[in-house]
Amino acid sequence: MAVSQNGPLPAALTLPLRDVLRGLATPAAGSARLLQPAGRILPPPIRNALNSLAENLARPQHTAAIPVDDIHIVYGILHGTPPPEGARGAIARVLSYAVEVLRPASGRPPFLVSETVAALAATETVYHKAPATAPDRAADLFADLARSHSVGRVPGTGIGLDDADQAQIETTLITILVWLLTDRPQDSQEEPALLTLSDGLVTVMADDVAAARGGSAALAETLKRLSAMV
Amino acid sequence: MALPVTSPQLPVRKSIRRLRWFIGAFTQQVDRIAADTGNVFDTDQRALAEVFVEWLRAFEDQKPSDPEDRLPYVGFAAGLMLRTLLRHEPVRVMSKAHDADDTNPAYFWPEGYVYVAFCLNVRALVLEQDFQEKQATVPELSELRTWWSFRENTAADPALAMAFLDLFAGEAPQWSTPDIFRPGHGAQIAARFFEPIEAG
Repeated sequence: MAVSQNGPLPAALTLPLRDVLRGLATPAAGSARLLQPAGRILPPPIRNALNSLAENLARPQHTAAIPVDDIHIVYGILHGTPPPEGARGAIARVLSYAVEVLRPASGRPPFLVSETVAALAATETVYHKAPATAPDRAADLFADLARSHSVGRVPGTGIGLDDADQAQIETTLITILVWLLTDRPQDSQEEPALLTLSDGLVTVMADDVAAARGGSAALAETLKRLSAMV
Repeated sequence: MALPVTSPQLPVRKSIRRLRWFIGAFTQQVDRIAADTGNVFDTDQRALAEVFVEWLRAFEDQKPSDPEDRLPYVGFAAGLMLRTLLRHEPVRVMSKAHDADDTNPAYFWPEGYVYVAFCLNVRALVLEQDFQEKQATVPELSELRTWWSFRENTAADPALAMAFLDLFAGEAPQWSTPDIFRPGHGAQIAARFFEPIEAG
């Protein structure tokens, strides 16, 4: 299909962004194309550079059921809602789910999650600390989960983890907390896409994220900034 | 799977600062132009995320505090977006329509056309929502020689895209250091070029 010499032109096009405005409650149809590997016909160096994100975008289609209720429980806890019964289990299940969604499709063996260790580790943040803000709570939860090795080769221990593994686990936890802090999508089936977007943002802002690992206050500030951007 | 989007209560000037809205809106723009032209595009999601982050940083860096500067900053921010898109080139045309007319900007430079359309559309929506202003339509937008100059000049200096976007939007381009915002300078210019939206 070709257009005439006089059109279309940007100003003459039906504004698709109006559809976005109208469709904010009904996300864009046809966006599945986003999930297609972008570099299929590109030269190898460019294709390789695209692989990581393309794999991430495709992965949520193959994961287990989205723990929607648990996600909302954890979101509420981070934002100051009194923890309901079973709150620690919800944190553990959400962690397990998110690590699976973010699992690289190839390369090194995936990390394992111990929901028991994660639930125990979350006790302090869920029941005993009273930070003022959601990002502060998220930073505390990060410390609990990282310190306990709830994610690892042998969960509950640091066995088998080199520095690169440790950095990857911490980045994964930060990605998950950015996702959990941000506004929930109107359609809960879009949670995996939101998590993937969070992963992309954390990847692009790797330098900021690395700098934020220096302390709880810096991490809380970075989590606040990134979650507002997703 | 569709992408998540932000609350419908958020105006575009706020939504554009959310990655989920940016990617969803940009993707819809690409899809719409592909449907209208027959061109086939591929979008690099990683590069698009980089565009978003770089643009947001640049946007915040020069964001004016004086309310009088808010209107001209809309056009400036749209120009920053175009500059950033041209730097990262997140879109690649995979094929053109079989009967593509290369004297039409949509076929002469398909990727540039997508970027300009997206930036003009976002700009127009913010102007309409926040200032009840209508973006002007100018002949330069359809002139091949202007697009040829746009493509050549921005290949050498992507910042010039900001001046070209002003031109396409009917404003007086600032060819010298277009990526530096000049507080207190643009309101009068903008007032001359924007048309009030008719009631009803």
